[in-house]
Amino acid sequence: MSAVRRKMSTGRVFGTLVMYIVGILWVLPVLWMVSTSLKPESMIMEAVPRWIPAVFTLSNYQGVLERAALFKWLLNSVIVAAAATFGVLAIDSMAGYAFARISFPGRDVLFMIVVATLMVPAQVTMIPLFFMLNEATLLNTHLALVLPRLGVAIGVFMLRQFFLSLPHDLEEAAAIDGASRYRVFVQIALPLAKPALSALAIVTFVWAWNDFMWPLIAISTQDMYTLPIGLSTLAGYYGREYGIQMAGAVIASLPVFVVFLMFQRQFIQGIALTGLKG
Amino acid sequence: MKRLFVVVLLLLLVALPAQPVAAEIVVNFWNNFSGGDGEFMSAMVQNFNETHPDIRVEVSGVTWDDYYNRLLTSIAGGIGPDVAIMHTTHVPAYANQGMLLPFDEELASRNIPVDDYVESAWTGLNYQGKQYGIPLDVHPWVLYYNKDILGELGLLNSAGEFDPPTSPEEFRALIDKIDAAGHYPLSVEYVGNSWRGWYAFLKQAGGDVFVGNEVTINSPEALETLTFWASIPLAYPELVIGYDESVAIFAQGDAAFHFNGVWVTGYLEQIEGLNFGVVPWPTLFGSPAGWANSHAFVIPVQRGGADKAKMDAVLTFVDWMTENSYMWALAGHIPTRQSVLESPEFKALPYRPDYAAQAETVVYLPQHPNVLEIETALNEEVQAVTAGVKTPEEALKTLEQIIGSLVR
Amino acid sequence: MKFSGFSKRVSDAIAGYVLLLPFLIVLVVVVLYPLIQGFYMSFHNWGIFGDPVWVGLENYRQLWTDNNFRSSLWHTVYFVLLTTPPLVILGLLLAAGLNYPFRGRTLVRGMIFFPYLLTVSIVGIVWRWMLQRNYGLVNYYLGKMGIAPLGWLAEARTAMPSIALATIWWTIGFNLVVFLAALQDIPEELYEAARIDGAGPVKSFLRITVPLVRPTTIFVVIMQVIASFQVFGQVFVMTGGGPYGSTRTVVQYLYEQGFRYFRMGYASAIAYVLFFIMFVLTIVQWRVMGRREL
Repeated sequence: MSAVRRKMSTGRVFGTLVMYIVGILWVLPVLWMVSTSLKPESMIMEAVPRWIPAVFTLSNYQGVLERAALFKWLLNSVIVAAAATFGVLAIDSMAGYAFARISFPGRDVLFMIVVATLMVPAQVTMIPLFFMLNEATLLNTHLALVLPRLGVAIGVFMLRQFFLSLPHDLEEAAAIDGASRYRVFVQIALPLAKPALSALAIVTFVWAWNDFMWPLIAISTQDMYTLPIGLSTLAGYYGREYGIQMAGAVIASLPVFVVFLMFQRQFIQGIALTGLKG
Repeated sequence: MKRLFVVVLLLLLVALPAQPVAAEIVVNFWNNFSGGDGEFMSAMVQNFNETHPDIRVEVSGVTWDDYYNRLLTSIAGGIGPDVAIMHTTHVPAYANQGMLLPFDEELASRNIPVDDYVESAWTGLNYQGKQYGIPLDVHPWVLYYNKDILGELGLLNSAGEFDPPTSPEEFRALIDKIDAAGHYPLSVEYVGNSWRGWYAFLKQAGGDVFVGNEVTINSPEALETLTFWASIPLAYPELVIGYDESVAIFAQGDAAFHFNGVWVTGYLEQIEGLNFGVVPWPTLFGSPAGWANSHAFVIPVQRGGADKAKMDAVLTFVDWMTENSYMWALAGHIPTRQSVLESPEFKALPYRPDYAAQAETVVYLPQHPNVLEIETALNEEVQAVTAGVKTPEEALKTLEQIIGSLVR
Repeated sequence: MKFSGFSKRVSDAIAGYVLLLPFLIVLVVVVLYPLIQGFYMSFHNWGIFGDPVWVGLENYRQLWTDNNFRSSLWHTVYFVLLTTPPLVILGLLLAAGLNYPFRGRTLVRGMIFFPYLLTVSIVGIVWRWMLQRNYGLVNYYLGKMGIAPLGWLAEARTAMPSIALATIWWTIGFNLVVFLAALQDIPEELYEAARIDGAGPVKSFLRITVPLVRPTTIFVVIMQVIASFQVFGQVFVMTGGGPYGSTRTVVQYLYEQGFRYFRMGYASAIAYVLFFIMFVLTIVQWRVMGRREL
């Protein structure tokens, strides 16, 4: 028995060690990014790479902020991701509740259609959307980036499942007291759905934040870039100026890092709950 | 009478301070210049703005990796710039889509000295009988050489300059000799646009990619020149590098030869201790020809059309820019106005006059709405050959097929 | 009574549609209509301006013989094959490693998960720098092990694996978290019992963990294949489809055709073929993996 336990514990120790190594391996690229961003241009390409810069400088940060509208891009990203998140929460919770709790003619057919749209890859609708928004003179606006996000059905599906799992008692009691469907939804069901809503909020925000292909198509001027698009141009623009590129990358990842530190648990629960890649 | 005087005076008082503000026309100008090009362009625009108080040119979107993708989506959305830089080869594709305004009417009603432009650069922008652009420069590929390395090997003439080779064998012998002496013989972006070098030789040998609707690329001339073009990287695989690296190696003084566009002159002459010279693209096959492209000013179609005052401002700007392209020549490019080319200040510049004459013999890719895809195909297939992944025969066959489907 | 039941049904129906309406409108406008419009476009020669020309099945016929499309399809499949097994297997292994309490577990989980939150452009430019031929970090450490420097993103044979590597680094945290949630539902007693039977960690992983997370694994595999099949950002930022087109994927090709060469009809046809392939793949995966008993 004790032999078994000792064997287990050496296994544990070994496993833990492996996990530490993987963890360190995984942050190395990020550390290298930070390290490079703090080096003077002349010391970035060295035959023997240095993890700790021999000379610290903020000139790359200064350079990237002078030449690229990073904060404007950051603001655009925040506006788009926040608007998409609020929009998705509002319309998806209403639709999810209706599908879960209210019986009305055509419900099952509609739900089938909604679920079926989950199979449609975004690339299929992009080109027609480009022309539609063009007609509506909405290209190169924040709205152009938010709208397509609102049509993603996963939130409806997820919230329907959640509402189905809730006990009926509270809602029935309220209905007997004469509350309307809408009041029951807003005052009883929605507060109960908080965990599901926050999970949906987090994943929606992350997806909208990282959206790449659609903004690449729908946005054409620099002042409207989101961070992913703006940063991708740094690579081409500053060809060999890796210090500038890395400084831009650090600035862009800093807000994400801070938010992640504060809400790590929620992030992970959000992903675990939805389990869908963006 | 007195009352009228007062009214007029009042009107004047109201109108006067407002006038400069009201008359200032903002011209939105997009270009894809970065690095040295970008700095010279900004300086020129600044100079223009200072000398033209009634026009303000705003350079927006300065530069980016996928300039043309942005340009395409913005023009498609009717929110394109008032004037933009476009490569001559791109013009047919955009004009064919109805995305550019022809200049003809504007030219007819204004004093633009059309005859002052280098003819090949001007006609290169004429597509289906309409003038879609005004050329700012010609930028051919040329041959840069390191005087120290060639001097050490005794390859310079008595004037300390390099006489370009006149046959493929001679050029190859030079490469072998330099390599044997322990130097890096030739830096060029084999992982990149090296098809331009081959295209020049193909034209020298009398071949072409396509003529009208007929693909002519799978020809003996093409095979001969492509085999030659690939023979150097195949013999010296360590020469297969990308653009940035090819410039860096020559700038560090390590490479004897460097094939590149003239835009790199402005950069190279700033490198301390680099002793280099430049000659026009060598004629190794038949008659002289060299690859080139041009930066041209184009007017994108905008939602709601263009108004007269804006058009005036744009034309004034474009005319001024080409007239003063001496400043643009500082970046390395060849100006397109005869008056600039013949000016004493241009002739006094280092290096530029050495290759300015090449503007006469440059060749653009033939005009075609699908030329952008044809260029991509050339780029990729030639890269595959220089990397040793495909034989010249295979690549030419693939090209014949791809380009065939694009020009038919 | 009968009447009030009827009126309840009516008011329910109204409430249902009122709540549903905002989402339905958006769905019609940004998904269903474009879906049909895209299909319609795929039968045309459709440029930026100017009138579209009906060409029937010509775009699809042309796709059938388009070598670039074929190779882009192959590159995409190659990318799926390069990324899916490591992302699933490594994801599960790392989740198993994190399923035991140890000091710093949350920190390690955070370290592996964090890259997932970076945007694809950051991932692209950081890896481009690390994979640089002459001064790249990767070549430096490989050099120490006696491996000659490689032009990772400049050579056809290494470019796609490099993109796959960056992708694995970027997104494994996601799969890890999904697996971790599944692992935490497995009762500890099962492992306890196995331990008493003398099973080591490897054995209990294979005998208990793997079978019990099977539904999650199926789910992750399908999601991974779908996500990898649509790869675009990494390719766009890291190689732009090069060298000589060797990393051009289907979506990259679609983007080039539509937004570089003005062929919106052709690009729509590509999108529909992509849709069709992904649809078939998903169905096949469900049937193959779902059918086998645990």
